[in-house]
Amino acid sequence: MLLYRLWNYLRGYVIIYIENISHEKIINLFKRKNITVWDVKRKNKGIQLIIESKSYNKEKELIINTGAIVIKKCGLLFSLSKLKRRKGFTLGIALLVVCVLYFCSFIWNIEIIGNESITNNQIIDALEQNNITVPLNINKINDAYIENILYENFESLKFAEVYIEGTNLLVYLKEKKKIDYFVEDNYPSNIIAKKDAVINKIIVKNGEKLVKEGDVVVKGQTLINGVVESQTGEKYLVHSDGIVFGQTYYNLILKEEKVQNISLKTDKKKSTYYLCFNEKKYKIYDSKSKPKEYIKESKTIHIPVLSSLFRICLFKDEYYQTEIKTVNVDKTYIKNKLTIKLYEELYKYCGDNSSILQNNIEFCEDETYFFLKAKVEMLERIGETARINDIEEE
Amino acid sequence: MKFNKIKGKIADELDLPDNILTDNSNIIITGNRKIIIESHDGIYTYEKDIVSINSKYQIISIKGIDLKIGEIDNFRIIIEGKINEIKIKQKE
Repeated sequence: MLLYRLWNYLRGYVIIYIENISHEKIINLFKRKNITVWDVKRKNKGIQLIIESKSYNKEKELIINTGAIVIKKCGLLFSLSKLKRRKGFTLGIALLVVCVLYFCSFIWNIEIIGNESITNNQIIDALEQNNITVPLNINKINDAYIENILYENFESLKFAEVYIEGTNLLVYLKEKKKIDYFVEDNYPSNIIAKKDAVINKIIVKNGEKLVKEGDVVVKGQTLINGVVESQTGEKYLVHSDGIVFGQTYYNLILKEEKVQNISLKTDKKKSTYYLCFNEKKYKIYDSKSKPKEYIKESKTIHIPVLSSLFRICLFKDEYYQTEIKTVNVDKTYIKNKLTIKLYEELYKYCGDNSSILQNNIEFCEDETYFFLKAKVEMLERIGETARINDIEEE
Repeated sequence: MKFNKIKGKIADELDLPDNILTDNSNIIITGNRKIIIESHDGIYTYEKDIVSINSKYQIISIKGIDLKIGEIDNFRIIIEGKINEIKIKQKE
């Protein structure tokens, strides 16, 4: 039904009213004359019906003779015929269409996607040097030519593609990534122990293994030898490479005072206000005397509407006066603090590639101090590369 | 009239639609809202509550409320509205 109505609208139709006693005869007359009629309704003393515009124009005289009154002419054809009278309006629309089509035939923006080290300005400058500037006629754009310009100007480009999307020129780039190649050291070297340990595991990639699992080694002892003997008895130097894990032992004693002086925040405070605008701070109010010992706290106060529109906000610095109090420190607190301190110390000695095999932590106290006594067995990498300077010394 | 009856019987025997061989009207009723009558001879009466349609051998009277002619051309007529009664009267 909707399609039928749309079709009728496109063709155009006329709504007429006929006031006649024998309206049935008129409908039959239309039928005989092959005039298609629809939406016939009884209204007052007569009938209202719709006739397609083509039939109306063809049989206009006959229809008027029946005493028909035209109520309305509808449809696209009639709407267009009205435009004949409004010449200025028609001309305006035509001009608008021409303008839109004309302006759509230009590129108005260059959008660059995927650049990392190369800036947008550098790319636009390179294009401008080759007379590619906006507005640019779409018909004159040669994708391959622009891509070649980019490749010529930027050696770090791995891939460049240019395509048009509406009135935008999209430049899609992919840059080459700098690969940090592994530089192999080829100088002759030994791997020596950097601390006293018991060997746990030894993996030799290059060189001659001098120790085995379970051996006790001292600091400076050679673990993997860089002087290798060939089958003919000839000696030559190699760069030793391998991983040596050793068990190391640490005895640590850490202590903390039972009574400590702690600075506590009081209610007395001084404030300083700043106005932040465009990421710059302007001081509005500053209290004259700041406390000698203080804890500083900063707050940002957002002003409704203004903050979101103009990026204006208030910034407040509060200086709380502190007072030093002598406090008996809680035992659990100290225990946790010393344990954390212990792990920090171990990390300092052993580094990343290490793990705790066994530990024996003891917590004790005397009159003035809390003590943490720890015996820790660690597994860590103990190998260290040492250059061989002269084979004669070996 | 007789000839039309014979044509109707032939159509029945051959399993063909009746209106192909005969001059009988084809009436399609959709609920009580719409009636489509094919091969008609024009309108006999048209009022808001009654529409009579002329066919070659019968007069089809439709009674109802707010009846309107949805479409009329040489071949078919569509009657829309709230239909209460359909009466087919044989012409003499």
